Amino acid sequence: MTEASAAVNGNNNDGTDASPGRTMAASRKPPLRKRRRFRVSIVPYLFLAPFLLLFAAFLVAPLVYALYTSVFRDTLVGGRQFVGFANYLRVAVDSNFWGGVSNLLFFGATQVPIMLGLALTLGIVLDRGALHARGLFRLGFFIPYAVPSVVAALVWGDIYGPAFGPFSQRARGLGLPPPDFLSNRTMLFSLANILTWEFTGYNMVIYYAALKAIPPDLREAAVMDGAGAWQYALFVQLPMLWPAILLTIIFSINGTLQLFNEPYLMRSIAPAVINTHYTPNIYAYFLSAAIQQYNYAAAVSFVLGLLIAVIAGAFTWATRRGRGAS
Amino acid sequence: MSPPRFWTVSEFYGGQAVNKVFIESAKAVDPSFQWSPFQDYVNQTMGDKLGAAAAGNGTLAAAFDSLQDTLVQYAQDQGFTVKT
Repeated sequence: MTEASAAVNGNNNDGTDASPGRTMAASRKPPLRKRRRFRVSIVPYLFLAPFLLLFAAFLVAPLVYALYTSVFRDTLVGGRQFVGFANYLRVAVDSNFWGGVSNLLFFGATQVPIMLGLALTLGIVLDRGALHARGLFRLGFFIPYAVPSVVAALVWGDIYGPAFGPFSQRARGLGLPPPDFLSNRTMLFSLANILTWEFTGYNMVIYYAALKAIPPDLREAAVMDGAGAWQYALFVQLPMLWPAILLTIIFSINGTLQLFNEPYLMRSIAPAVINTHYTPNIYAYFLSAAIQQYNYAAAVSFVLGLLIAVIAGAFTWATRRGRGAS
Repeated sequence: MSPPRFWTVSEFYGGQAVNKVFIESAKAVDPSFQWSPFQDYVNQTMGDKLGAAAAGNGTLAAAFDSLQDTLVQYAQDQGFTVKT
């Protein structure tokens, strides 16, 4: 408070009217100006402080600590020692880690295009306004995203269940062999189905918002030029949606490579298929929580983070280049 | 001595008197057995390897071989000298 009032006084002193402190102002001028500039630059950070404090405490600090942890090694015989990048070199040749990554790359290459294609179709259909009760459909498509992923995975686990699931029971009632949703071969598709169910609505809302932002005169112009609904969707809406599509692809790459909840919960009904290194995040979890290899788990997490950054970055770079060339 | 239900034959377990089987197998356990110093790791790896065999990836014998190799490797990584 006192500093603020001093600043106000200082402002008055700089003015032309003769105030009592005029003689003093000349000598106080330079430090005052410095102090004012300092205050201007610190105010935004004060407003940001609640965020910055939490960000530092719960994101930056754990990251730094994990990085520090990852360059040590703690063995039963010999104890803790500094090993530099040895843990990272171990990750580079760890078949468990890369097996999980390849699982997810296959998963992402099949599930992400299906999910985004579906979301795009639904978004365009909703935007065309040919539907009755559009709000109801929009809400209906989005609701799965509002279901917590753990709850969704539990419910889907129940549906897939070999002994108690509705599909198995119907099949057995008809005298057919029950479908196996949880075998080595089908598990990735069963997981893809859960993820598609969960996130199609979320991506659809992003597309829908982007579609709403397309100025209506573009449609008028396209219709005047004789464009049909398909042509308008393909040659006007799709290019205009590109930034939104790119965004959802980056989100999907990020989400896919960090897959944890759904496969982890499926483990309780398919322990033979979902092993302790089915996805890289599950691997890091079991390394740290089950067998206390905190140092190695930290290294695995950092390599995974780096991998996500590289893939997302490469994708952005490639699409920007492709668009620049065309 | 034991309640009669203890010996019941269970249809769920394919018509076996399960507790009888359990007692027989418990008697077969070698009491000189020792836990490993990193039993958590053993259990987890065993689950992975035997699970893979149960799911149809390789034979059970191969799973035990691979388990042995992995555990020896882990023990050496942890600074133990392994004698076989």
